[in-house]
Amino acid sequence: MSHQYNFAYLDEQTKKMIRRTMLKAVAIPGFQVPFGGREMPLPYGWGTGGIQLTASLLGRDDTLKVIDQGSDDTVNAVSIKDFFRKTADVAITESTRAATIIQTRHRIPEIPLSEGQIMVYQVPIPEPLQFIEPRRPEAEKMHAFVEYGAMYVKLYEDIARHGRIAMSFDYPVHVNGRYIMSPSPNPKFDNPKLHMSPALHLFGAGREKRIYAVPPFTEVVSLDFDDYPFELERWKGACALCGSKKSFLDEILTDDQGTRMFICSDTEFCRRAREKEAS
Amino acid sequence: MYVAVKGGETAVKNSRKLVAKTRRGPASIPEITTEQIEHQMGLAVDRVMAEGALYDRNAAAAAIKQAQGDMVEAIFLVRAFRTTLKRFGNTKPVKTDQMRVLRRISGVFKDIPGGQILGPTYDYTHRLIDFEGEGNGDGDTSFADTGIDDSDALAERFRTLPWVVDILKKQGLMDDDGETVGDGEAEDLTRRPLKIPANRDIRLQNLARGDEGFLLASAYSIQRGFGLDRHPFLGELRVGHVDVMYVPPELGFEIKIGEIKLTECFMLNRFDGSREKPPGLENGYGLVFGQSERKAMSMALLDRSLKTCEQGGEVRYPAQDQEFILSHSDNVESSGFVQHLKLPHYVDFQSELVFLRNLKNGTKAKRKKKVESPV
Amino acid sequence: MKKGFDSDTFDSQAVFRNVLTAMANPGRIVDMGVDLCPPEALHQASGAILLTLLDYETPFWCDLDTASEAARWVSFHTGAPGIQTRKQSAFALYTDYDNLDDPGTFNMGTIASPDCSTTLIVQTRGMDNKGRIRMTGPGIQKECFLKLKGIKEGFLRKRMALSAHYPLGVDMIFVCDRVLAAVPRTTRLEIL
Repeated sequence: MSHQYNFAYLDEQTKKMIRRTMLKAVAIPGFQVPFGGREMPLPYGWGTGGIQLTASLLGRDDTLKVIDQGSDDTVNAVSIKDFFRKTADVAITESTRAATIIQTRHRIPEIPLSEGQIMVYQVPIPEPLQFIEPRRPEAEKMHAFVEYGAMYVKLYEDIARHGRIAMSFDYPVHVNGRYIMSPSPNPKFDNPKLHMSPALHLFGAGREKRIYAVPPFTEVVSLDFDDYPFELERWKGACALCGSKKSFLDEILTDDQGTRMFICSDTEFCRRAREKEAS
Repeated sequence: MYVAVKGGETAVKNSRKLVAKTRRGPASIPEITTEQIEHQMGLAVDRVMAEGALYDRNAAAAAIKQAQGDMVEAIFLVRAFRTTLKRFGNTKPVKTDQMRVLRRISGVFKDIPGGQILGPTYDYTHRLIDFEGEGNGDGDTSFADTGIDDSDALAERFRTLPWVVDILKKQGLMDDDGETVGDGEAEDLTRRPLKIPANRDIRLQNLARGDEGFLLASAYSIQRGFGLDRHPFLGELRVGHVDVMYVPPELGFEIKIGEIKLTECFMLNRFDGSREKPPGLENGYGLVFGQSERKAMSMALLDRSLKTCEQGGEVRYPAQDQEFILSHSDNVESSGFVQHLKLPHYVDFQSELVFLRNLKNGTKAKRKKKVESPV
Repeated sequence: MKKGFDSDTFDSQAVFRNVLTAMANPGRIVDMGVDLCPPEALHQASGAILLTLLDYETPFWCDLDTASEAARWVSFHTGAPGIQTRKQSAFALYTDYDNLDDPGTFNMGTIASPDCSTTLIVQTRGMDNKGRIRMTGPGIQKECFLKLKGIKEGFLRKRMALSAHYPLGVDMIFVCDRVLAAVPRTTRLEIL
């Protein structure tokens, strides 16, 4: 049976619905807007929310970059690029600067974003209160009435027990002084990149059927306390390949004795740093 | 050395080729046809249609073949196909009281008007693997001349059998609590996200698409006391074909556009009465594509237990909890999310390692001082 | 009946991206990006936005007669149900800026679902970034100025008053001929 799929896979009716949702998400920064998410030909949990956003954004003139764990060449990034190459025939790039749309899982590029760019995040669990209140109607009430006490109690308990806030990724943020939002499972290292960013950030949760956004130049503050401020991961060493001390480092096990090395998680950033070094 | 950094594209390509090769198996064995699957693995086709939420035997058979018989994978294929199909409109509600019945049983009365019709069921087969027969080669074909009349003409005779629950209603033992949906607009679960608490139309849609295993286990928990204080009864179970009627806007009158096989189940429970409601029997309803009795019965048990909060009852067990059941019933969602853990999580895991090493080394995060990882 | 987009797929995509840019950067004046000839009462950009975003799921309020060519054109190309009650509208259009009413009479959403609110399109006589309306808020780096020709100060003051109800609110898109500028509910207005 042959079956002709539309440009960028989704039918126009679905794109319309998603586009309306995106506009409302932009108008209410950090608020999770429910949408009639569709089944996609890739599994839930593998980026269906991000893919639906990208499919509804893409035009013929766009240049798309897809990363997973900061890398352009990890299996799922490759698979998603392949999907859009097949269904929309758009230009694909590894260059953060050249991209008009960057779909990502778990990282924000190290190379600064610029105005006009759109970041699309794949979100597994959009509800920052999920592990405090798994019942959605309750969590929705907490957002509606700004009842975020339970979240701060959880952070406070971390400090009492561990002497620090015990969240290392998917670290919740406060957006435009109103909604608490999940930045998606990025390492907290990337949270500051959202604050007053010149780019538009769109978040898509396909399985949970929620879309939310951080417009450009919007205040995004990681939750903390005055006496226990938000702090970033840091490494004493540098990237073993490019020598960067500023980037987020991945750990690579090099033998079974526990020997390890650290390299940039952002493969494009690392490659450019090495090229610069070489020239 | 840096396998993790490069090579994703080649790996994905090779993996797809390997799937195709594994699926086909040895070239010396003839390839199975979708037609064979459609007709000889009909119950598998039924399940894929039910949970794929698309009545298309051919698509379901093709999906089963493509998925090497992995049912959840086949269901996923059908769902992804379904979302791309154009909608023409809504059919009229099917009339299951006019079902051309292949099988119809009741567990509550010895004889019922129209009779008990055993029909095709594994219920009274002995589960002995037939290595020589049907399982292998053409096997036993003696059924061809058993003289059993399974013709359409017979099915036609069993048309318009009264529902057992209707008889009970006439006797004043049951309320008409709206379980027969009229021509009113039902909401569509596939167009809007699930909202809790959900109306019964949405709950039933969710259960009809839900994973058979999840529904079965949840219904079983009800029977074992996690949500029910007494034994339920099978009011009626029927399997058969119904006509699908549609009113094209340009015609303005209804026409038959096809027929589908359904399994319908009514489950009964004694209700001792409350301040608002007199004593009587309560109904749980199940309706599933194809022949899927295990699922229709599970659905009917869950339909009733999910009414708990509407009836002012206390929600104490998972099978009474709408959010618990309805948010976790869909196997395309759950399969995807459980298995997404196979995706790389290097970055988040690295963040966890940085945190843990700091914690183990007892480097208490000093107030207003940066944490450093002990590399 | 006048025709709609040349290409539903590509024209609506282009218009959407421009509307998204406008909504993400309040006050920025953006060209609609495609060509379209809607019936006379509609500015090109109004027509383009409506064709891009409306369908049978979006109740539509408009200050035009439902029998007018423009109203029939929108209904024909989008299938959006035309309605009389502003409070139920997902989208609304004012073609006559002289008769602008309180934007608070449209749907502002609810505290649980602030997204279920009206997007209001208003046709103007023209716009530039030199005006006395100072805008701040998400999407604006520091501040932005906007002059909306034909829009009376009273209307803008009523819109200013709505900011107190955030996250409830009405998101607005002002249009003139081919250009548009958005003022979402997050934007704080001051009249200098």
